[in-house]
Amino acid sequence: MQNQQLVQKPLLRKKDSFLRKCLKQRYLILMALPGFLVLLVFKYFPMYGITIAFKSYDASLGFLRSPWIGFDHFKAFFDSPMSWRITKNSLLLAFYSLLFGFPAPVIFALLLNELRHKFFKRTVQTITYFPHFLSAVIVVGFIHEFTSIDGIINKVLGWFGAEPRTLLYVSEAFRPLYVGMGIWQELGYGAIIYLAALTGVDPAQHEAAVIDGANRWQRLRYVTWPAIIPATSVMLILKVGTILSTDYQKVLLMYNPKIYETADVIETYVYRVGVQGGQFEYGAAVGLMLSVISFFLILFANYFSKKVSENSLW
Amino acid sequence: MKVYNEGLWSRSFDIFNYLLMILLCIIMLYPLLNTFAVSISDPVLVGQGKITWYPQGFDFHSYQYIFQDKNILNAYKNTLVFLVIGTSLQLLLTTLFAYPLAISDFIFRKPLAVYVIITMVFSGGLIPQFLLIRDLNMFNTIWAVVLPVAMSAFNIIIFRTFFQDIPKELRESAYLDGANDFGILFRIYIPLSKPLLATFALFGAVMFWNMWFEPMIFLNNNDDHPIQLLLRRMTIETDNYTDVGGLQRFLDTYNLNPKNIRMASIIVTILPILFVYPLLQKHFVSGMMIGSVKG
Repeated sequence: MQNQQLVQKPLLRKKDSFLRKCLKQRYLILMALPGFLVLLVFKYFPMYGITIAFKSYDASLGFLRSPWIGFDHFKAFFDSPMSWRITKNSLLLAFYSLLFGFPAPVIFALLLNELRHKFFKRTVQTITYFPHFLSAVIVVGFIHEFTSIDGIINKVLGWFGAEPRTLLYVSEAFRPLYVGMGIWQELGYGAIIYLAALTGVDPAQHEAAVIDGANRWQRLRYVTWPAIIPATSVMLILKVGTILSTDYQKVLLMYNPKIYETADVIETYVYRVGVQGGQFEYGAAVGLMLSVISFFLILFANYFSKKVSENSLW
Repeated sequence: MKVYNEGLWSRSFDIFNYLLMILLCIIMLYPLLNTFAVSISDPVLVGQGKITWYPQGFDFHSYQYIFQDKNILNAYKNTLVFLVIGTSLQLLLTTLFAYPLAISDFIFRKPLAVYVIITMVFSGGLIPQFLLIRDLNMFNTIWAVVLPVAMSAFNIIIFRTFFQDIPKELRESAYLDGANDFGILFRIYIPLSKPLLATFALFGAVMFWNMWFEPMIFLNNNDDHPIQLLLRRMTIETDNYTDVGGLQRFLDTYNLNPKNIRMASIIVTILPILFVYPLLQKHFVSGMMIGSVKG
């Protein structure tokens, strides 16, 4: 009898009341509690904190009692000349990153897959994955050194007859530098997911294709490529959803007032006016707009992908 | 892979492919090699811009400087404190939270799962986060850096998935032996999850090692700054670097080029990552797989 009771202990019975269930699982509840609170305070409070975008913040009244003022901050943003500049910069930076940065790891994975020496392949992977783990400060530190007047980038450009310039003070150079840096850092690591998809290809499919007379290009086109289409579309949807969110930490480290023209993006603007300038409500309003647009972008990208390729996130 | 129908095109493609891969590796490695080479090369040659990927005319004074500058050592210590406390907190909170979520008859399982997923989709953004830390009076404390990143939905989901794969008979039989859930978690689940914990400890450590933005906005005092922020002042925002470690005097004494020391400081910041890289590499592919297969 006693034994049976012990067996029953962890298992909930349907007829137990809610409180009794809670009591039985008190240890489980206790375990979840600290994490629950941390999420509540550090993820959910800031979500509520967004309401500051619709308020006139008064430090003496505190956060909750500051008066509501509606959409004034949003109007102020759209009226300011900055709104066009930072939106354009964010979009262009994202567009170029997508255009050049997205296909790069896919192509890299396909090329790696064609290598025949296991050891060589492993070595290339080991070397190309490494930059992913370097901090933004180090990577931008490299950029600073290499774009200086006597840096290697100027030397290489010199071969093509370009005048040496400190490239971080040249606004046209910012976008290529940012995109190039992104590819340098994420090329190898970004390819992992595609390589994983490629290992799923059954070698028998290749053998069958060869018997049917397929050459190497045809095998790439009709055997290998279909294997990574699903991963590619999912990654593309995710990328489009985050198209407006720039890697602002790197931009913050790279930019300077001389190149705000091309380098100032939504997040850096929010940081400058909000955190540095103390206009919290205005900064929050701009930030909120960014998240709302991103949210609709990902819905749209998912819908679009479902229509054309039956691959989707949900 | 076996070699089939070798044609001329196929062979020239191979040659092209191998050359391209070698070129890529050179591009990936060059910044690291150049930085290392400059850090230990003759200051005069450095000044003339002659150093490419290998060191010339050795001069190790830059490292002598690095290891005597109290600022750098202090920044190292700060980073280590963030790293140890931050990573332990992350692992502890995530493990404790993921375990109940992995138990199928836990009454709050569904609501808590939704509670976690929501944080993946929506976020408050920078300004509300900043105001929150301010209102909590956490400015200039380690908690501002460590707590907001302690729980991530991604980590929780992976931990939960991992715990779910542990046979539930283990848990049930431990109950029979009179263990409670804390005992089961710490004596059965955690020992069985060592690979998972090791992977995430590594990733957490790298994240804290590389962190600079949060410390920059939440810690006003230069003495509290981690190594990445000091590095930023030394290499990027050089105007903001205040020479309290006697840098100029040292440069004059040994006729060093400031670039020697800049590059040496980058190297000492990369080295720890380089040391754990073989371990990281062993784990990250499997780590990504756990997430993508069942996430």
